[in-house]
Amino acid sequence: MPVLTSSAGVLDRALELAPDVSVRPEPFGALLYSFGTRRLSFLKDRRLLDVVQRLGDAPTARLACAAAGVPDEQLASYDAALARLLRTGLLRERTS
Amino acid sequence: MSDTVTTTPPQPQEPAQSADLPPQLVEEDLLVEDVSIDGMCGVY
Repeated sequence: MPVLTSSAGVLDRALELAPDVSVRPEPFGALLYSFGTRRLSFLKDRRLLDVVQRLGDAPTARLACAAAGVPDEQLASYDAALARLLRTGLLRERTS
Repeated sequence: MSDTVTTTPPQPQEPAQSADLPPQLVEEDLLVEDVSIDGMCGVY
């Protein structure tokens, strides 16, 4: 399992939602629940939900952010958020 | 006739925790929040 550091973000990786994760859009963002880890997470931004939903079709997380309209100055926040979701098992690296 | 004294409870001071945290950690918490539901069977 790769160790994530503050300098090695996840934006240039191909990510996807873990198969055991349920997504429930909400006005404030979304609820993500993993049936495997029993972890519940709140996405506090609708745009982050948009990014997460685009991950499976985008070559990299960075392109998913761009497609969702994430401003460049906010990329670091989204990078950290995606890294956290990856670290907690709600996202996984895509092999294909 | 009894006199009633009304006192206003002191307002709790909010801990300045965010000021001590590195900016990166504060920034990370803005978009994702994890919740533990262990022991809450059937709630979700």
